[in-house]
Amino acid sequence: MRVPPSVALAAGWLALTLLAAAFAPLLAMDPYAGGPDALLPPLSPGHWLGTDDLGRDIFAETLFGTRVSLTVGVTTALAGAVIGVAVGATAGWLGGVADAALMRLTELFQTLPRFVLALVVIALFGPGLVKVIFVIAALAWPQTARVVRASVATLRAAPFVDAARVGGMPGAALVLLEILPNVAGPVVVLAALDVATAILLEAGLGFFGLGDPNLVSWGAMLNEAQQYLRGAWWMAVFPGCAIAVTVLAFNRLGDALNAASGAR
Amino acid sequence: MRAASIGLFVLRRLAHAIPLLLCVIVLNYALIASTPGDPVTALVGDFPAPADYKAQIRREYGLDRPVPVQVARYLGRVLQGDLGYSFANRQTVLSLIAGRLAATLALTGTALGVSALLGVGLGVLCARRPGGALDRTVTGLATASYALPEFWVGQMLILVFAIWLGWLPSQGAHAIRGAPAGWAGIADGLRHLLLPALALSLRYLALIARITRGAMLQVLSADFILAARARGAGERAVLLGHALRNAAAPVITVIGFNLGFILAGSALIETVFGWPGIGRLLFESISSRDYPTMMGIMLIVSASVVLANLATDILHRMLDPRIG
Repeated sequence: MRVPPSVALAAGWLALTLLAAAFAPLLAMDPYAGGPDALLPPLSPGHWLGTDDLGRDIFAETLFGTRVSLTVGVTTALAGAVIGVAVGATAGWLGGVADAALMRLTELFQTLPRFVLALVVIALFGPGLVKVIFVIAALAWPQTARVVRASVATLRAAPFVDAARVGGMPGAALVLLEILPNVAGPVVVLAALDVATAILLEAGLGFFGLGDPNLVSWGAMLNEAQQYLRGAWWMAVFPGCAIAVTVLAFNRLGDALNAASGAR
Repeated sequence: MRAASIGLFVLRRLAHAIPLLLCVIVLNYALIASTPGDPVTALVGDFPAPADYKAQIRREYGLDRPVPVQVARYLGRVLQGDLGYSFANRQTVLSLIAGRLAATLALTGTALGVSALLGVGLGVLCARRPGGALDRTVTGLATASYALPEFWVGQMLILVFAIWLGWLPSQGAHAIRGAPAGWAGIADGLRHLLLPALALSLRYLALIARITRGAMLQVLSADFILAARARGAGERAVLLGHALRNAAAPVITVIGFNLGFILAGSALIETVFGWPGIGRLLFESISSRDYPTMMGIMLIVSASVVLANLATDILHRMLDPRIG
């Protein structure tokens, strides 16, 4: 199979960010260590992306920022996929009242303005990486649930499922072993796109000052950059580019997976 | 018959939307009630408020009573339009939000209008020559715009147009010394509106262009288009008179169902541009731990989304009677 160049680029960038997140301490100086050299422009000796208002190295901060973005993006997408599959499979398999109730719940969660709700929850319960992950995961599952429910409801009566049922397979095994493998494609696609959405959402929270106060994140960097736009453009440009390219890469990957699963 | 069936449809959608609205209010209360520490803090805000005021709130909301009573009281208050009192601003939350409403409506309305007009226009042009230069450019821009955080786009627009070029103001809704009178005032307002509206509309412009293009392409392959062309209808008449009218339903749906995202986006954009709307108020209320205002905005935004979805459903049905 031929891989389009844009997909190869996206995969390459994601591999790079993964390496950056894993080996950040070896590749850059301490992102938390300020110094006397505040607001140095890019290409300054020792700070090739410049420094922020507290003299912290922008390159180090951007590099360490991959950790928060990838952690939040990947864990929330996984959790969202698990919740979505569980809710969707239950609703599609049981049908009837359970189906109606679960789908109303899904609809409620789909209606809620996710960003505002996440802001409110973090503001009430206090910031922290784990809370951010919980909130975003709790809001990430509805689309997956709908897709899975639709497939399970259709496949429930498919001949191969009937065959397995006649063969004496119990209900739970039917869902897990016979039906769910067929919906893996769309679930993976949605998960890849959910990583992108979660990274944007986390950046927005960070920009509102509700990220984890003990960790560098791209959103928090942009929050700080807001007051220095006039004097220090580099504080805003580099973390923003990091978000945009990473989100673009996950979106591209999702689209490519979608095209690949559709072609089969 | 047709009018009756539309009436029935509206009733059915209402029967769907009203419970959803009640769920939203109950969820709001669930958040208040489950705040760590004393829930009265979530109703008063994190201030050294007088003890007897706190006691009064505790009594009024029935915090010393069983949970169902609390929920019922909260629901009753909200349904009467009482969103609480912002101790920080010495004002009811409702009047606080009402005072900021015009600015947010101006911003989101402009952004939506611009993205709808330009988006539909671009979508139609793209559908005329799929795979052409314009189509490829718009597709590329759309892909990029989905990946850009709106607030960062706002910051970059400020950098380029306000700081480097000095063409447009970067903060607020009018000149710092107060808005000038007459036409100069309107011009001043528009100059302040331009950058935030642009930052907010980019993503929806791209989305609407993509949806319009898709819907147009689908309609253009239909038999009745071939028939219209065979009758000698001009390209303009086919595109605008026949195809666009039938492609309108999905486009309107996309606009309606994205209202929540636009309101959320405006919270970020208003913060970047110091725009004195509800989004900026949300940011202020979070920073100053003015929880009643924060929860009031959450309610208003969620309710607007439910109502916008309802209106979209009804409009969609009127445009396309095949929907049951």
